[in-house]
Amino acid sequence: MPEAALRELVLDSAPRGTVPVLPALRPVVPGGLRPGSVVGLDGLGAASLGSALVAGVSLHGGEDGTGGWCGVVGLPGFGVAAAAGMGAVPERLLLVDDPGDRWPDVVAALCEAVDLVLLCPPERPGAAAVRRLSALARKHGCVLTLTGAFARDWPGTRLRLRLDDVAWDGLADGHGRLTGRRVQIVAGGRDAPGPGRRARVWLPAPDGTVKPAETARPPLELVPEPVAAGAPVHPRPSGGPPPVRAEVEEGIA
Amino acid sequence: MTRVLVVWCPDWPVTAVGVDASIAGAVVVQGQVAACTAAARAEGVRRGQRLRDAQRRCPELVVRERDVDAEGRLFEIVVEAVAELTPRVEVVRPGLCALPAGGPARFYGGEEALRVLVQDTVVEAGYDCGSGVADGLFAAELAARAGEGGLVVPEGGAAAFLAPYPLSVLHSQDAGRPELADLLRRLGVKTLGDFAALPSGHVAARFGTDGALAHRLARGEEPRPLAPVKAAADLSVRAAFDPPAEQAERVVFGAKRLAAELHEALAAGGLACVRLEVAAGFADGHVLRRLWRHDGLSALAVAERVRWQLSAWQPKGGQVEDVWGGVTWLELAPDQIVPDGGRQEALWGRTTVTDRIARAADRIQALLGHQGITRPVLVGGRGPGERVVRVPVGDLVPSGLPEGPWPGRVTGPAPAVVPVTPSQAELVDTSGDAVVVSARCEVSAPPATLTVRGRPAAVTGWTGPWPADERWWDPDRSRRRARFQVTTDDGAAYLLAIERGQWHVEAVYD
Repeated sequence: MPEAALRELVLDSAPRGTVPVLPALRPVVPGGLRPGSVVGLDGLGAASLGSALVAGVSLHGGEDGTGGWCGVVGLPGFGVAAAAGMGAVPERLLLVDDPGDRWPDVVAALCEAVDLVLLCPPERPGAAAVRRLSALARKHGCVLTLTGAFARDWPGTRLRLRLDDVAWDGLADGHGRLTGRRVQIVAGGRDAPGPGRRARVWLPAPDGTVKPAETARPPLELVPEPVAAGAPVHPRPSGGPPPVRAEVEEGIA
Repeated sequence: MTRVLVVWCPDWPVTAVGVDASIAGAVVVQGQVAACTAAARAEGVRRGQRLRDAQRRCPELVVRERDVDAEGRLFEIVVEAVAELTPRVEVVRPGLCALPAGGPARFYGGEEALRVLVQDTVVEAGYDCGSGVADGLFAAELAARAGEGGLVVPEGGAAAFLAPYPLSVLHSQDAGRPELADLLRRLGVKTLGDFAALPSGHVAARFGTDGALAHRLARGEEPRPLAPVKAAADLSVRAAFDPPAEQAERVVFGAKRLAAELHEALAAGGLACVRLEVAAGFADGHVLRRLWRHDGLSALAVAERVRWQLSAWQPKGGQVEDVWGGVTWLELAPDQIVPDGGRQEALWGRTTVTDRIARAADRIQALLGHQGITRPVLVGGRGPGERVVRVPVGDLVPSGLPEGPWPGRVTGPAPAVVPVTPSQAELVDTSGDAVVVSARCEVSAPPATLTVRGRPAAVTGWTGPWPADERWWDPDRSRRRARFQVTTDDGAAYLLAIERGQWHVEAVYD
């Protein structure tokens, strides 16, 4: 097809094989989301995390990296303006606000077409629905992102994202306005083994986007070396700088 | 100069509302007489009079509200009757239609013969009329009004025919120019002949384009040629069901066949339609009408829309026949017919609904109905809930949405959760009294505890009130609110609003 050939000529093809995320989220989801996987969002800030994932796909997803489609099912309160502020393109969002008890069929239909489905199951998902939808998502490479009260009841969730250390900026006692929120995103689950991955970000930043919060890193501190009994006070012959330690869980890597 | 025949039905607005010409009657718009019958005119009723004055002059006056739709609808009868003689008819406005007289006059044996024939035809159709032939539309209309039922102005005689008319006919012609007529009258120019005698260059310099146009009219020159359009063929298709179809399946099957027929007819004319009106008639006379967006729909997709339309009117769990006795007829009418320009897929950079997406959306619409799956459009608005319009997939984005500025809108990052219906909340101060806002936007006390869904949390930061007094001119839709932003010690942030003493969570900065 000449059209497809032209597209490939003009645009660098995005790294295929993953569903992209916003640059600020890459420390917690390196390389992007695994196609066909299930992501769980928990607790406070789940809506913002969902919006951020949708924005990542909407901005960098799709076959040629020019933008993918997302479906949002069962979330009538989905903040489109917030998602758009993070970079989502409203034209490429499909909203099914009230799927009722047909939600498995709706998700099944969307799985075949879009790159990411943000789903809030209105009821405890049955084993059959879970099996069917997980298989469909795997087959079509669509990421199922679960939120809401029953998000934890979905077996086979490979990645769980939540917020930690939430601090809002801009509001004082009777004046100011909300400008931004500094959070720590914590990724857990099979796709983020061990203690999990962490990243400090603005979610949202004062301009509504998601940005890495470098300024939030605590200052480096001098750590005195343990002094052995009877050792001279300045034992270091080489005179190198004293060792510097950053907070381990800060996760500079 | 083209010869034009004009058919003029006198006092059409009155005729259209069913008032006989022999009795005194008038139609009114906003308390002013818009048109009256000849009988009323004889009593002294005039156009533009206040209703009170008209009734004082003619106490037995029959008064009706003006019905513009009926005027257009009834005039179709006249146009059809005239179109029987010659097909190229231009409707100038309800009550007045024109046709080029050259060809038909040769065919029917002269202009006078044609004029009389047209007049007789319309009278036979049941409406009184005058008809006139002249050079150009303006002169022909006056010729139709002249004499007893109109006359023929000989070729080249338009200027002489127009000369004795007063200038007021210029602005009775089509709306506008009362200032011009008034100014000319005060300058001592009283008739069209006087006006036509002025040098055209000077008229254009003094009165501008509009004056020059009026001057052309007065000299018997036509500002524009007649543009009769060939009546578009009626492409709507219809099927009757006898006995009435009680199963939706039967109707849908019929719709598929009808849609195929319709598409064939459209394709034969090289046409496409923007919208499609589906009308289904029921045995007891109910008619369901709905417009569907038709952007290259297949026959199957049209049938699917018919199914949705039927199911949308079904009560929950019921059948069609339970309500209205089955479908007796189905009609598909193409709306907004345009030349078929083909469909161009975007190369890149523009968002197109790909086939995959369209298929998924179709399936979901089949499950949940047309409104079931939407695409959001960001629009202007003050509150977070007003900033998004959800447009069903397949429908056009609404145009003409109001643009800003929106004084008093909530600035800063948008909230991530905007509930459809704001949930109630309680905001109290340290002594446990509810926080209220006075009419002067003074907060009674700093809030201390916020209770949302029964869970109290201590307030760590707050700001407000931001008053929003919307649509105060409309008592039914006016809203008076004061918004607050509040953060609590569990890390949550809310956009609260107090309206009539009750706190709501308008949005959550989740």
